[in-house]
Amino acid sequence: MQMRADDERFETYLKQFYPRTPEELPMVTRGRHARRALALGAWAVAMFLTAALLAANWTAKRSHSPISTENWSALQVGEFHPLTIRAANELLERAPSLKAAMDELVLGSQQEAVPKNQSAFDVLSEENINP
Amino acid sequence: MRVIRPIAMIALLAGFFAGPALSQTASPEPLGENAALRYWSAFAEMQDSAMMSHKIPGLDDPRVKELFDKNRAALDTMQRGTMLPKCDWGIDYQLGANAPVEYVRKALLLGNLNALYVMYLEAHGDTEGAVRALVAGLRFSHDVANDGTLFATEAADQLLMDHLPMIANIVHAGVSPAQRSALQKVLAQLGPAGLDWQGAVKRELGLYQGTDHGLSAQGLAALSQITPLYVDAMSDSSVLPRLQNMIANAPTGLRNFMPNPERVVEAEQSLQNHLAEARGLLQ
Repeated sequence: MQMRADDERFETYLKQFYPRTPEELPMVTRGRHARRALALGAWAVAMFLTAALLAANWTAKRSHSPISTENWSALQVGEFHPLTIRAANELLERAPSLKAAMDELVLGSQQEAVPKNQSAFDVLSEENINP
Repeated sequence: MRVIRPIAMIALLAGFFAGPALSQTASPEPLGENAALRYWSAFAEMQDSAMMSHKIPGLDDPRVKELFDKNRAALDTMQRGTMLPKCDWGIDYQLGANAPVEYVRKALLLGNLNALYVMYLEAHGDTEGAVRALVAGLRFSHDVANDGTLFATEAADQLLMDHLPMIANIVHAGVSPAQRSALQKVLAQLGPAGLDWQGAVKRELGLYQGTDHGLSAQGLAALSQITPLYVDAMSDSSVLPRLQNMIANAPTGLRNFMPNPERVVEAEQSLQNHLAEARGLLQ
């Protein structure tokens, strides 16, 4: 008897509850879509730029020479002027013949490397002398 | 539709940034397949090239052998480079006449060394090696002119003229059918003129239009008339007097740096004659 009374009480208790009416779903607007796409795009660009910046910084650090500027100036034993089209044309203009121009071009560069009173064969022989 | 639009936008952005990188990787010809890069490696491997500026005592001199021993790597690298079909020296024409062409000086040295090497091998009975070095030397000489101005073409001409006489020596000493065929093939590849003289003239005179040459309006007008005639002179020497007359009457600014057409035509014809002679020997 006691158990039936409990059941009835519980049933009464449960009857107080009613299902809630569902709320309206939030409206997804066009503007919200655009904002989301823009945010996504901005995020992608930001990620790309960060990656590019990191990569550039890493490359710059890697290419940084351990040689100091003082050492660098010491390494520059002589001024080197690379041949340009202008310099080459001036040489062609000045030289009596094409062959002479080409010879001057080749010999000119070598005369700086070898003293005039010393033959290249002597230079080569000296290289073979062991200390 | 609403979802596709932002995706397309992102894809477009990604394509914009990644495009250049992808186009580089998808290039049909790898950058390493450029003969000019191999030639630069060969230049770096050259040793004691100063010796080339001195009289060689004789091909039997031990120091000559030593020179070739030291430069074997450079000569081999050059030979391998000649196997590649493309040679692009990457001349920076945006710099106008200040564009560096140091490679020409190095090429003259390496080419001269190779010509001497052909002589050395031939004198020591190594006909196979001599033919191989000669074929490579002819190809290399031709490559030196690639996309260059008149100066590079004249240097290439000089190198070809250093190599061509050796065909006679080798043929007289006796060559196998395969060696003869290799020489015939390389001469055929050079074409009847040997070098692209017309292209070189166009590039040379095209430089003068740049601001660094400071040509006046009259100078530029004269240049526009001289250029097609100069190009024609490379295939028809009969226009030479008219061209010379035009140059003589051009404004001083232009006249001062205009290459002597007589010298250029003479070099071109001399090379053609030597090529024809060499082809005749191999018939």
